[in-house]
Amino acid sequence: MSDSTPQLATPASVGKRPQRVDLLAVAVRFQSLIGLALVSVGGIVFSPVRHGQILFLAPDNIANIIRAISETGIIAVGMTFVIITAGIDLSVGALLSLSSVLTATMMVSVGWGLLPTLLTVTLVGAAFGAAQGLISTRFQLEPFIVTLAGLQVARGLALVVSGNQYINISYGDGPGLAPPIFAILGERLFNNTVPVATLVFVAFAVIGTIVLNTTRFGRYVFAVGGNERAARLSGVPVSLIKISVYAITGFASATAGIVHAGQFNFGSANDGTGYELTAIAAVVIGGTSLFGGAGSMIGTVAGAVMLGALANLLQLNNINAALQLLATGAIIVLAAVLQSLVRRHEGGSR
Amino acid sequence: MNSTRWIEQRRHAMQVSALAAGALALLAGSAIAAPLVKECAKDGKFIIGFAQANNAEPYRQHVNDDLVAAAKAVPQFTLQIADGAGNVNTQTSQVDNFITQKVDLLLISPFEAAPLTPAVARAMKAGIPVIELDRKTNGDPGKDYTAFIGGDNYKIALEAGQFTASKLLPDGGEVAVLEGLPSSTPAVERLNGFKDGVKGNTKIKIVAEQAADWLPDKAQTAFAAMLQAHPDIKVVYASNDMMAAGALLAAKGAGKDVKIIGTDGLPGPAGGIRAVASGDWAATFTYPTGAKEAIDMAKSILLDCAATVPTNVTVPTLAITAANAKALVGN
Amino acid sequence: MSTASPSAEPARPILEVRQVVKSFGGAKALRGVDFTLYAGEVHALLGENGAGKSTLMNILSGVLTADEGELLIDGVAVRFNDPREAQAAGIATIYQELDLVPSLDVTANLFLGHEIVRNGILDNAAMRAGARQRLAVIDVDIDINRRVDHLSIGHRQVVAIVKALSGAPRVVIMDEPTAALTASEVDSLFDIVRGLRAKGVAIIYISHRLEEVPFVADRVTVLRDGLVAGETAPNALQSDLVRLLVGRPLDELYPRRSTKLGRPLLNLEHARFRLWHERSGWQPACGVNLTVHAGEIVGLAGIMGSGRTELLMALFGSGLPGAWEGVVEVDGQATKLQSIAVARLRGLAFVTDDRRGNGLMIRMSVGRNLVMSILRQVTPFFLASPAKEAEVEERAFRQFDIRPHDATIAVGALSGGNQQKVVLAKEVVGEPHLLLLDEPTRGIDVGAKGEIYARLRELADAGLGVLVASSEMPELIGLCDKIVVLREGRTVAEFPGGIDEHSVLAAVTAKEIAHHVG
Repeated sequence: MSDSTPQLATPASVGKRPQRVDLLAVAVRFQSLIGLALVSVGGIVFSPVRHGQILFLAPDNIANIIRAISETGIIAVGMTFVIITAGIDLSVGALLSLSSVLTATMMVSVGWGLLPTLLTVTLVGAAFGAAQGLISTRFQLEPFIVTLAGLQVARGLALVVSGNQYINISYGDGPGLAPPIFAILGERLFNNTVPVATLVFVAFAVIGTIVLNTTRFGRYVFAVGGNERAARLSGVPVSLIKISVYAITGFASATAGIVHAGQFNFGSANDGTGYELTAIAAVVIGGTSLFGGAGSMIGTVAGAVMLGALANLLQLNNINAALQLLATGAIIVLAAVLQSLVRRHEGGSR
Repeated sequence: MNSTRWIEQRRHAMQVSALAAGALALLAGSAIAAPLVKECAKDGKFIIGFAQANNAEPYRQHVNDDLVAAAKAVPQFTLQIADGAGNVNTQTSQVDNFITQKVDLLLISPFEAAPLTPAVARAMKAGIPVIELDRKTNGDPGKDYTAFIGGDNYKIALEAGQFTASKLLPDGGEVAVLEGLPSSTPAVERLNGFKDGVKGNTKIKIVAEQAADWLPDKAQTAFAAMLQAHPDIKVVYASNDMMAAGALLAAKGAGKDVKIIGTDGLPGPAGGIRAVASGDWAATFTYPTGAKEAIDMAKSILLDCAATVPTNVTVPTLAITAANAKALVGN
Repeated sequence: MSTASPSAEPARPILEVRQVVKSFGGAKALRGVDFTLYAGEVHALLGENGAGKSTLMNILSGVLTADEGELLIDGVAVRFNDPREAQAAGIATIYQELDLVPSLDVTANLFLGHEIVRNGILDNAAMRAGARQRLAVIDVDIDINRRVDHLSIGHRQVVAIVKALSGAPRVVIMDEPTAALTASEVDSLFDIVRGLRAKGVAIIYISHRLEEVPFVADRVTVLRDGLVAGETAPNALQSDLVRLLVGRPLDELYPRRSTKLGRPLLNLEHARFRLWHERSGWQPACGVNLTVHAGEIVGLAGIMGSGRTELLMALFGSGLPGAWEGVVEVDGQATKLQSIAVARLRGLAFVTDDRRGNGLMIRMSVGRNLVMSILRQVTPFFLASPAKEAEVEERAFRQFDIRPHDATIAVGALSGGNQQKVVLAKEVVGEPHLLLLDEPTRGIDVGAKGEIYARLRELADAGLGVLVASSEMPELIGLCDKIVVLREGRTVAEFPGGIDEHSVLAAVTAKEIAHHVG
């Protein structure tokens, strides 16, 4: 067994990585798209048929699905940025509610025009998020805690601003009436098929995908989540990036709040509860790791659509709500297990 | 016995309003009105979709149970219930899904009025009659939706107030009120109704008034604090049964004998009727589900091809007191 | 091959450190250090753990700022508040725990912080071309589209070096660059270092591997206890270097060796640990031959990633899920050692190298920590017995001389050495037959090291078997009765204690394989 010549290093296990690992990684990378495909196939197969038409595929129905998820979808786009930096934002649902209340108050009670209102509300949302990011980075606090506090603060502010009342939005010219154009958010375009809320979501998803994948900022977001220390040493402004991603979720939540107010013609301090969990679920199902550093925007969008399609399919078949929760839970666990398997294969890096 | 009389009473009320509506239609008098739906038939098969606001509230579960029971009695009907889970977005999407499914009639208890108004409008536009149960959307019955069936929160609470003023505290005393979720319409209506009801007796003083968001635990905490501040509280009015249950716990904890009034009068082992029967509460005022009335109206639209229906049906409340509670528990 | 004299010594040093002081809380890490660096030289910075090497390095690279003293570049005083400022001043640092983002590919890592952007959009094609070009300079074949966590450790090191060189630095700091490399990788690293030196780059080469110093360094500075202990030529005698490093002759530090061996406590023959799930970055034991007798201290040598820690964890049933194959005997009985519970039942105890992470509940009291692994014995009828706990604590305090003698203070408040004593004591109170230790003296001062060595020898004399893995070669040679060398998860050589360092090192890095024992 003794070979006295200097032997070439053979770093075992490198290079001859088993093929199935890559297959698994691919499966996880596209798990939400695969899941969406599966749900869609299931939707077609199990869809009730009426008057010879597969209801699940009816253009109306597809519009319904995407309209229903547009608010949580917009938030999930923002949430993807945060989660890729290994953070979390629990304040989004409450911020949506605060934003809907602000929108309604400004237009109805204060009498502001459309543009000033939209600008102010989105700015407030972004500032709220940025403040959370700033507190979290400045005092080195867990984002979980900071945004949990943010959730309470936003909810409280919403109650204060609304004076514990629903603020209904009526349209028209004159005091106490909102600009009629705002009502477009609740309407459907193109021959009454495409909900405007859906268009807002699609725009958000497209811009989010571009920013995340093709800009320097997007690259920094991945770097901060992948190895914060390395990013800092490479000259990445880590704190600024972190603050920015929370500003993005704040902006997204505010936009969702405006869409909410426009769709439902009111601002309510009690709405948006649980949206943070739906958004996180969409992101996780989309293959983004809660440990940070890896994720995809397309995955998030597919995850959100999949959850919506599943809920729709179950209702079309008159299957009760409890089962819907069970199915969602099972899908989240499945997504997490797949990710964990890949992590185990890839070793070391947590 | 009392219960049968109660039902008779409700029947009567409905017939009266139905007659009134019919008379109105006759007065309007133009040609023979077309049926509300085209495909009506005695022996047809019909799907009724019910968009419930939030299954998590016991009262709403009670409504679901009543509706299921009433629909079962009509073999032509299939009832589908969707749970809006207290979320206007979810409920909107469920109404949209019912439209996609082309249900034959839509029943809805909107979680909130304005947000669900567009969805209801879409259903009406798609030719689906909409009966609103318990809560309304914006607009006018008969035009923006087919009909409204429900109790009157203000009147129910007014009766509770009058009952307090005349029966429980004829000689006056301190009274506390537990309010529901502050921004919700029924909470406001029930609060105002009760206040107006006790106005007749000037010796009654409302010393404490707190929101407990319809929840028993919050009610317990709030009422315990009230009893600390005002040990002489004689009566507490809770805007729903769950808060009344919380108030009872607080009163027991403080060792006080306070007369408790609930609202809703839910059946079942944990419901208000039993609590009154066992002497824990002084009274509860039923909030009628209107389920039977709703299914009856669906029958006249879908099976009898009715051209008109009464557009606003108020189902009266029933005071459940020591006098009738025991008899009602049996049902 | 040593090049003793710098090629041409310019009049003015490129980098100068004058009387730098740095404290953390009460502890002074640097107590007035002077250090100079000239262009085109490789200056080795040696020192034990805790000597102040990393603190000095962190000050130079802008991670920390000095409390007192001056930093001069080209004779001009500078002060770095941020790593970026150091980088801008031409100082690049290659850290030991390679500062790469594992989930990004090679190209993205190379350009991190310096991305090429066109119209606000990342220009991936240009960056890939740039990455290829940079890697071509160093003759290593690495797929630039591969995620970094899919590369071998050696290739990651190369990527880190190439990344550090991207700013055309004048000073490169390398922190233990060979710690995880195979022999051929070490050779190519040295080639890179020499290439840089030829271009006039100044290199600070931090290492604790004395034996590699003559191969690369032009000058050597030794740090000890936050001060410069001395400066020597790289071809100085090993014993002189050790004296500078440790502050006293080598032989005083270690206890005498054992003379009589008892029965074999652990016997592995062609033993192999088969993982249920394959996983990279983990070197499972395969083909291990090893015997530990009662009264014997056996050392495990090997580079990082050779499977030292993994072997210990697999023996203790605490690694990844898997199963042992081949002959595995504890105290003469075959066993599977499939779980921690079984390993403990068989009389094994494991002292982790990561005392703050895996070893101690850092916020709990010393006493609570001491009884942690024997809770069952001190909790009759499921109730904690303060009397029994106190008894165990007292025994541990006396045996290991843990200071201060107070079981109620939080273990995190103790010095590193005393924490290590607690980790050790906590396992010893369970009265194991066989003690497995991973890096038992990492990050503690020389005095505490001596105490730990003495305790280990006492335990061995009392009949325990001890198996200790360490990356510090002098420690293994001084302490152990026998040294077993691991490479890529298998045992490749065995030496008696007290052997010269070169022989062991050769086996460890596979320059040549010596078989002193069958």
